[in-house]
Amino acid sequence: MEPFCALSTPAGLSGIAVIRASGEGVSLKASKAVKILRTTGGRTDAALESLGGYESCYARFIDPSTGNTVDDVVVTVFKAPHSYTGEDMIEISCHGGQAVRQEILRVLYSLGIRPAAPGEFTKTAFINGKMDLTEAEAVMNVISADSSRALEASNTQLMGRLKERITKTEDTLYEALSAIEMMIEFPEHDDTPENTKRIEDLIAAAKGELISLAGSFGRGRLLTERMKVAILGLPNSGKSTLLNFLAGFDRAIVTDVPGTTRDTLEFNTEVEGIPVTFVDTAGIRETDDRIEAMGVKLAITAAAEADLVLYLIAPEAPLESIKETVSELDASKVRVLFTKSDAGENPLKDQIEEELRSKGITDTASVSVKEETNTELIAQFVKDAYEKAGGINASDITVLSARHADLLRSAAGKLVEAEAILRDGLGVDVCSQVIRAALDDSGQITGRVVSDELVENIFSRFCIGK
Amino acid sequence: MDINEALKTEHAYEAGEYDVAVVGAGHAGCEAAHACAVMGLKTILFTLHLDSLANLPCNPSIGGTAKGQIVREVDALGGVMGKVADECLIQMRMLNRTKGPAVHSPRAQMDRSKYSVAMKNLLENTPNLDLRQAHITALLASDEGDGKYKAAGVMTESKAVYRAKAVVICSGTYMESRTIRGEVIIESGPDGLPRSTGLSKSLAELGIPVLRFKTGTPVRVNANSIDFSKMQIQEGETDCPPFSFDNEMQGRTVPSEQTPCYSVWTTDETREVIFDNMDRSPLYSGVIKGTGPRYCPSIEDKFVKFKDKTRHQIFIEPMGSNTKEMYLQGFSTSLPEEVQIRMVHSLPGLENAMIQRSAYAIEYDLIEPTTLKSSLESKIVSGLFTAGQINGSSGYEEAAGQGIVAGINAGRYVQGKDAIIIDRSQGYIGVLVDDLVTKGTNEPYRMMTSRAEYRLFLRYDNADKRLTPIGYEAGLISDERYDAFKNKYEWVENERDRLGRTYTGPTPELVEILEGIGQVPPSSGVSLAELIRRPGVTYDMLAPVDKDRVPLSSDITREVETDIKYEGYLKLEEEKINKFSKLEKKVLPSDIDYSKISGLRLEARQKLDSMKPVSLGQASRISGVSPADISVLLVYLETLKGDGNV
Repeated sequence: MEPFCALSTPAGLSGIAVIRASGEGVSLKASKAVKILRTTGGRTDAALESLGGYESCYARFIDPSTGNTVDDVVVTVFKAPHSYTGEDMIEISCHGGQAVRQEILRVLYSLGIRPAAPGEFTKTAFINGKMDLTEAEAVMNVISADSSRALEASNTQLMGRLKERITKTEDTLYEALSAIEMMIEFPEHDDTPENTKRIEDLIAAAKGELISLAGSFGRGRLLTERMKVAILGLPNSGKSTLLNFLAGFDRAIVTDVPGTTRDTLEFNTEVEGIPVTFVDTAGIRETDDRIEAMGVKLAITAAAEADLVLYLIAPEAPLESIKETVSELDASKVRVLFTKSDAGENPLKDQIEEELRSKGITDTASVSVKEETNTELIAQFVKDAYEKAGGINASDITVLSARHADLLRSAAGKLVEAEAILRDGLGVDVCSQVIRAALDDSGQITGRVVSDELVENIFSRFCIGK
Repeated sequence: MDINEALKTEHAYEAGEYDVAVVGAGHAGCEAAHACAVMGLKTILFTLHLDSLANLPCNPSIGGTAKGQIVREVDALGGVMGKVADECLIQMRMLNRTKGPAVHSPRAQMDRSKYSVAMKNLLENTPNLDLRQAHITALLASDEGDGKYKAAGVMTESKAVYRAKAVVICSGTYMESRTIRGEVIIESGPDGLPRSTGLSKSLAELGIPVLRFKTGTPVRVNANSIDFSKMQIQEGETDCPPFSFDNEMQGRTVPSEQTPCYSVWTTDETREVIFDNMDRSPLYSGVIKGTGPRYCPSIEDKFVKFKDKTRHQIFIEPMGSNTKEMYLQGFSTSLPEEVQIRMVHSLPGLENAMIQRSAYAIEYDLIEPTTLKSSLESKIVSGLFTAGQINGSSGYEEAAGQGIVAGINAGRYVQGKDAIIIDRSQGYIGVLVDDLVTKGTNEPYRMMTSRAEYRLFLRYDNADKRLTPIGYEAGLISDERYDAFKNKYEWVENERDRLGRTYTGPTPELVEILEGIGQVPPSSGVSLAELIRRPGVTYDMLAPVDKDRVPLSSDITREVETDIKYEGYLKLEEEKINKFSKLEKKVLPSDIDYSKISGLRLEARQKLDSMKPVSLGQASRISGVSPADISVLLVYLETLKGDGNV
C-alpha cells in the first residue's frame, strides 16, 4: 500500500514527539529529507534506505525543496513484516514543538507519503495479519487507558483470556445444539427424555456463565471509564482549593467570594493507580443568580452520577443548609471533609456529625489543604469506594467494553428465551434458532462471526496516528 | 472431442439438433428435461434404459427431514417429483410433528415400479421433449482457448452425434460404476442396470476434475417369508397434505388406505456375524477407495463407529402394492452375499426371510462440484450443466432439486437470459447448491435441516411463497396456478389480519378451551392472535369463540397459525437474512490478488485465488476461509473503495 504518515504522540505540548510512516519503500521516499549523521552501526555516510530493521540513526531532517534544516531527529527503521503494521516503517523522533511537527509532516506529504486516516496503522496491521479483531479492540483500550490498572486489564484481554472463556461457553452451546439437531435429523433414533434433560442442563450452564461474564462489566467499566468523584459543598467551603491541590496546578479560580465556581470543572488523575475524574461543583445554596442556579443544578446531578461524593464543610457552615444538602444526596456515596481545620473547628461539629449519622453518613475527616493535614485520608476514601464498587485486580477476567457487555447480555437473554421455549413446548427448532442467535452474539466478541458494522465500528473509534 | 472430430469417427452420423440435451433420466434428469421442455426449448432426454427411468434403486420412499422440504420446493418451482409422488404413494407420514414447524417433514413410501411408469408417461406427454434410450459415451465441446470449452452436443455408443446448445449431465451413480459384495466386484450400474462408460473420461479430458464416491443399498426380502408378529408396526398418517401444492390447492388428500411399515432391532447375533466377517468387508480391507456417506452408513459402519450402541433399528418398508418385495432400511452393507443371508436371518421376524436382491456397495465417478457456478453451469465448459450425484450429492430429492435448477439455467443459457440463482435464504435447494459449489464435499452430500441457517423460514408449508414467483418468472408455472397461488396468500394475509383485529373476552367457551390445556384464561379482552401465540393453543381450537370465521382450507390456516405463533422468531430470522444479503451484495472484484493480502492465512489465500468467489458472502462459506479472513477482506475492500481513506 502507498505510504502514509501521522503524528503518533499526543497533540499537546511535550518534550519530544514521534511521527510514524508506514508503507512499501517508505525509507526510500523519506530519505531525501533525512541526512544521516551517524547510524547505530557507526556509519556516517549511509542513506536511510540502506538501514536494516531495528536500526536507528541520528540525522538532520531537512526540507529538500529549500535545503533548510527543520530539526535534529532520530529515525528508527522497521522492515516488513517485522513492524507494527507489517509493512516497512520508520519512526521519526523529533522535538515536541508544534511548528516542528507540522513542518516534518508537511515535508513527508510533499515526498509522497500521504496523511494517515484514523486507525489506519492498526487497520493495516490487521489486514497484514499482525492481530485479530479482539486484539485490535484491545489495542484501542490500551491507547485510551490512562491508568496503570486499566492497562494491565487490557493486556489481559490482549492475551485472549476473555476469548478463551467465551469459547468454552460456546462449546457448551454447540453441544446443546448438536443434541437438538440429532433429535431433528434422526427422529427415529435420538428423541429421548434423557436427551431433552441434557439440552436443558447445557443451556442453563451456558446462561449462567454469560451472565457472570456480563456482570464483570461494571467492574471493568471503572478501569476504562474512570471513577467519578464529585466535590460538593456550600459556597466557599474550599472545593476549588481542594481540587487545585489534587491537580497540582490552578484549575479553578480560587477566590474568597462565595459562588465563584459556576460551572463544574473536571480533571483526570490517578489515585493509587485508580483512574479518577474529580468533578468540582458550584456551591450548593439557594441563589437568585440564574447562571449560578444552573451551576447548582449541575452540582446535584454530578453528585448523583458520581461513584463517590466528597462533601466539604467549612468551619463557618450553618447546620440548616447542611441538613438541606444532605437530604439530596445518596448517603452511601458520601464522605465528609471538615475543611480549613487550620482556621479552627466548626462550632457545631458535634451536632453536624449527629445529623450526618442520622442520615447514615459516618466517614468524616478534618483536613487542611493549606497545612496538608490529613489530606492522605482523601486517597483512602477514594480507594475504599473503589474497592466497594467492585474494583478488581487486573488478573481477573473482566469485560471492558460496553459492546462486549451488551453482546453478552443479549446472548444470555436469548438463552433465557430458549429455556422458555422448551418449557412451553414451542418446538426444538425454534429453540435451536434462538441458541444460534446467542452464538451469533458471542461470536462477535471472539471474532467467529463477522459483521461489517463491527469492523467499521472498531476502527472508526481509533484516532489518527494509531 | 468437438462435433467435427466426432463425425469423423467410424460409423458416426448426425442424429439431430436440440436446444438442450439431458443425459440421464433419474430424478435430476427428469426435472431438468421437463423444465427445459416447458420453457419451450427443444429438448432430448437420454437414458440407459427406458424401463428404469426415474428409478428408486435404493429406498422406496420420497421425502424425510429436509428432503420433504426439497420435494415441496421442486413442486413450488413447477417441477414434477411431488406430483408423481402423490400419484404413487402408498403411505405418508409427517416427521418431527412435535419439534416445531420448521422441521415438520413429509415423507412417503412409494410404489416403486408405478413411480417409474408414471414419470415416463408424464414426460412422454410433455411437448418439446423427446425421450431416447441411448448410452452417451462422450460430451462434445469446442475449444475456446485458455483451458475453456463450450458444450456442443453428445455422442452415443452407437455413434449417433446429437448437436445441442446446452448439455445437462445427470449421470447418477452410473459413470464407470462397479458394485461390490465382499470379494466379488462386478462392473455394473445400480440395480443390475448397465453402467456408463467413456463419459467421465471425456469430461476429464476437458480438464474437469473427476472424483470417486461410494454408496450402498440393503437387501430386499419377500414379505411372505417374514413373521411380522415379531415386529413393531408403523402405520401411515392420513392428516398429511400431499406433496404437490397444485394437488393441495385443489383439495386433494392423501389416500385413507395406507400400507404399513415395520421396525425391528438388530440382535447380538447380528453384531457377532458382522464382527466375525469384518475382514471380508471391502470398506475395511481397502478394496473400496471411494468415500462413503457419513449420514447413511452401512450397518457394519454403524457397529464400528458407534461402539457404545449395541443395537440398531431397522425399518422394513414395502416396495409397492403389486409386489411382496420389502426393503430393509438401515441395513445397507457391502459384506459378501453369504454373510448377508446370515445377517438378515439374525433379525427378529426375518429368521426365514427369503432374500430377493442382495445388498451391495457401489462406486462411481463424479465431478468436483467446486468447478461449478451457482447456476450449476461448469466454470470450465460453458453450456455444460450438471445435477445430482455427479455433483457429489446423495438422495433422490437432492438430485431433483439440482435438476430443476440446472434445467432452468440451461434453458436460460440457450435463451440468452441471466441465470436464476436460488440463495440460501430462499430454499433448501439454495443451501444445497451453494454448499456443493462453494464448499465442495468429500462424501455423498445429504441434505439436513441443520445445514440451513434460516430453517424457520424454509418450511415445507411456505415453499410456494418462497419459490413459486421464481418458477413463474422462469416460465414453469402456468398463469392459472400463479393466480391460485396469489389468491391463497391473499387469504392468508386477510385471515392473519382478521385474527389480530378480533377480540374476545374471557367467555365461558374460552375459559373451557384454555383450562382444557392448562392455560390461565385472560382477565380481560384479548385478540385471537394473542391467544394463538400462547403455548398449546391452535387455530382450530379457537373456533367456538371465533364466530365470524369462514371455513378455510388447511393449507391456509396452517400458514396463518405458524405466521402468528412464530411471529417474533420469524422476525429474528428476517433480520438475519438481511444481514446475510448485505454480505452477499459485497462484490469481490475478480482481479483481486489474494496472494498480496498477507493478513489472510495461506490456506485462505490459495482457496480464494482458485475459487474466485463472486461476493464476500460466498467467500465466507469456502472451507479454509475463516471469519478472521473475512474481516480482513472487509477492511481490505474498504481501503480499495476509500483510496486509503479507511
